[in-house]
Amino acid sequence: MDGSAARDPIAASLRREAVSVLTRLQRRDPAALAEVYDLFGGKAFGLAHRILGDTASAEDAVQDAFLHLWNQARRLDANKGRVDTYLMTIVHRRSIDLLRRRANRNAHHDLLPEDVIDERPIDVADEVAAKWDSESVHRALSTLGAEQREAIELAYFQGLTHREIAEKTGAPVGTVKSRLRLGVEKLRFAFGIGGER
Amino acid sequence: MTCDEVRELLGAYVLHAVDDTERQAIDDHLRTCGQHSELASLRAAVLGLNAIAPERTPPSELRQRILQATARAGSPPAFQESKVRRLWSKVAKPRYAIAALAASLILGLIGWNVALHVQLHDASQSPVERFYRGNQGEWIRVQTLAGTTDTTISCGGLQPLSNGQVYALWRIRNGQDQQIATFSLPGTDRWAAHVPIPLQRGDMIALTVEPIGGSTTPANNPVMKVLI
Repeated sequence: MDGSAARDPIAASLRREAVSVLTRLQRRDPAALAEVYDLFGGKAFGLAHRILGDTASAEDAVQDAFLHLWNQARRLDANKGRVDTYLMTIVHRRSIDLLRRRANRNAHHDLLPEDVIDERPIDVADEVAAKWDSESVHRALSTLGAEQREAIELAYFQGLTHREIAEKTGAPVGTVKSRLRLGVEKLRFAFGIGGER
Repeated sequence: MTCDEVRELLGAYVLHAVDDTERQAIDDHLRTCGQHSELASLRAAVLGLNAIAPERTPPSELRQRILQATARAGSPPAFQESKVRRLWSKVAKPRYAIAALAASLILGLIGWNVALHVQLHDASQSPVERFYRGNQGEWIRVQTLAGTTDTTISCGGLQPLSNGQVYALWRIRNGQDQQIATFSLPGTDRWAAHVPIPLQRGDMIALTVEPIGGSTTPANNPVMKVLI
């Protein structure tokens, strides 16, 4: 946990609750899942709805994500991970899967790849997650060039691959790769996340 | 894929903006290369984007559906194990049992236009998902944690039931049917449950409509039948 979270009693309290709820999820306590839903269901549904654009699909994505969390909780380190960060990662991935399936692109990409389970980014994100709110993220995005920001939003919220972004924007594929890479690096800098780990 | 190629694609990779072939190639490279220590922090930066999406209140029934889906975890399902099970095909006509079973498999695949998507992860504890879709919009999804009996079955796109009816889900193995669950659809067209039932290749999952109270064997033709 970073210093700001330590100084912020609400953030510290949320952190303790997150650890506690994850521990209980690992013990297969259904009440813990209900708590996670009550705390983060709105965020999860909001993200899925932003990506998928309709209620029914967003429900599917959120339900899948919660079932995945339930099944995979034992693999997480309760002392490291924020359950909400982990949950939102799954919601995003599942939403993109559904979006691509709907568009008949990568239709067989049904699984949540192993990297979703990778705790390292979640561990790193945990250092700064307390700072993330819509305003601060928009501020971070404003440090990007317009084309970098467009490429990142097309990828993350519309599920386009770098080639599809190139087609849509008319930019060369190599240029799109660079925009995505440099854009994410700028975000990392804006969020104050270390480069090496 | 070389380190330079991976580095060039790393932004797209952490944004999930690579195709499956590229993702696999990058995953393979990262498993053996220690030169990309920035990966975790790039992924973490991307997680921040989630904060942009405005919070929305989900439909009220979603909470109940999710909790119902996990409510059975940790306890054995209420299977009805009878000593002697008739073959599924015997429900129809015994002398055509084998032919009917084979035909139903073929017709099931063609007529129902089942889309079978199977991805197997050889890593232990990896989730394995099988998704099947019928041509009337109905679907069944089977998610299993490799090496365990943790299985979640979801169904959707289902027609409303008449009074006195429930849907019943069956596992059919070696001609023996075993009821997995019965459920109704209060105000929704989908259902899901976590069931610690072992599934293996060759098992068949069938969804039927049964009278309330269930049946010891499927009493009606399946709404959907899929081969694992």
